[in-house]
Amino acid sequence: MAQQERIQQEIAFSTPLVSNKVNISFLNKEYTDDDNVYQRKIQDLGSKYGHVRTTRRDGNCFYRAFGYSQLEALMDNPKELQRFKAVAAKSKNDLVALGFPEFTIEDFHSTFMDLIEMVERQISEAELLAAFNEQNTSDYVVVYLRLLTSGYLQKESAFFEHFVEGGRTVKEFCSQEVEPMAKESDHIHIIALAQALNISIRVEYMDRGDCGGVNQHDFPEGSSPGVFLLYRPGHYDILYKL
Amino acid sequence: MSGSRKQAPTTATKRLKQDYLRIRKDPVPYVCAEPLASNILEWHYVVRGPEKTPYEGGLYHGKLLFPREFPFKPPSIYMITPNGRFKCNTRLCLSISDFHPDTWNPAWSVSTILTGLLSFMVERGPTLGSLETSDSTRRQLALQSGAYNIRDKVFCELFPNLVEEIRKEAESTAVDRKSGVGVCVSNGFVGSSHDPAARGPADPADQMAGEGGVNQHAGILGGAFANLVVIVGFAAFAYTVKYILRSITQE
Repeated sequence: MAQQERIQQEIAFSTPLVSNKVNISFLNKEYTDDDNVYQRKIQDLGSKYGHVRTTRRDGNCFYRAFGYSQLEALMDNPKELQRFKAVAAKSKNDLVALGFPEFTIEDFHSTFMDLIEMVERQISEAELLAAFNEQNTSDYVVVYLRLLTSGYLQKESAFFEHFVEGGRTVKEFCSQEVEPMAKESDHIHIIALAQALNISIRVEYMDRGDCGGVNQHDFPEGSSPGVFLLYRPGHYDILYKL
Repeated sequence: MSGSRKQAPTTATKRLKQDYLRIRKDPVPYVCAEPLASNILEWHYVVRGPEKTPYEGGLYHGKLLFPREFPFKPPSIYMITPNGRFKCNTRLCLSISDFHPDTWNPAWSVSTILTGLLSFMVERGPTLGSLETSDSTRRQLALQSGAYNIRDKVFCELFPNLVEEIRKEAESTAVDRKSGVGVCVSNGFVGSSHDPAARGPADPADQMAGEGGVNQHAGILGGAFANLVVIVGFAAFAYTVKYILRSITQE
């Protein structure tokens, strides 16, 4: 436990929460040249995506990657921005209705709304990136997205209970695997968050499985995604279409 | 809202200040909490034992130590007043405490923590730092809690209202005794708060006095009264011994 914490700290100080945008070829360097499976998959990825932004491997990467990517995408889509803002504004009441403590949810919600309003005021990409690299602001967004995910899972618990492992109730699952910081995300979290905010996320799955290219998956299925994430075992980064 | 920068990091400070305003504006039943003026990361709380529990009438003082990473990491929770449920001055292992950072939810506030502590206190589930004691011991400790608390400097500094309450309670019990209204335990509760504080240690003496049939002497000053009780108690004991010895010799 202490060992794990120390390693997490080391990682924390060595990488930014959300990195600058780099060319997709950056990924090549993360694997050895003779790692054929990954090199081939990166090549496949490169045929669809031009750039990547990495996130810190702190267990919150899905929420952070999604949060940044979604807000960045809203920068040049004022119409979608207004829709998203309305959904986000209303979301707090939904959580309160579900029994979350209004007391503190307020803080996280207002940080999230502040960022949306910054985007509305047409701040630069650099400013948005700076906000996401400010640990507290960034973590407050992560907390709020976790709460939204938990809220949606609980609201639709009749459906999601079939996907919860280990004989737990949806509520138990949420308090153990969704709400605490640094808990990693799986399909079920992504589905819930996408539906809670009524947006679409595409995840490109890249693992050691020897099947040629990367597998893509849209949440919810059949939607047309505005956020593109790269999944490698245990981690999510942000992708940019060519 | 001014970004004061003491040794505590701004997020934790800001959040704890807000929690303080909230708990003031919207108090939680049975609970009050105050941060130290010198260190916002250390809070002291008092939980009032709920009715119909062995803790009824008790005032339980304890502290919360918040990490610099609050609200992303949980506080540690300590109980100071002897209560029979939790060990004193020991980090308690609860889902809301720092024993379980993996189940901590950053949306939990000081109010949530203390409500959680209270509900766990009145349950019977064991955990690290919990004690197994009888309900009567817990009741006894509840009665003694006020007297214990007013000996604590921090308690007196942070909770002057409660100190006042405990003192008044002690006085009203003493007045009852002096005016010879009788030593019925329930008198202290009428029209006042629920803390029987200083009555605690005198309680068994009251009962013995009743049994010994010396109720009418209750108006005498406390010290003399206690002495009398001891004498009567001893006399009763001597009689009992004498009776037993006699019945043995008769057989």
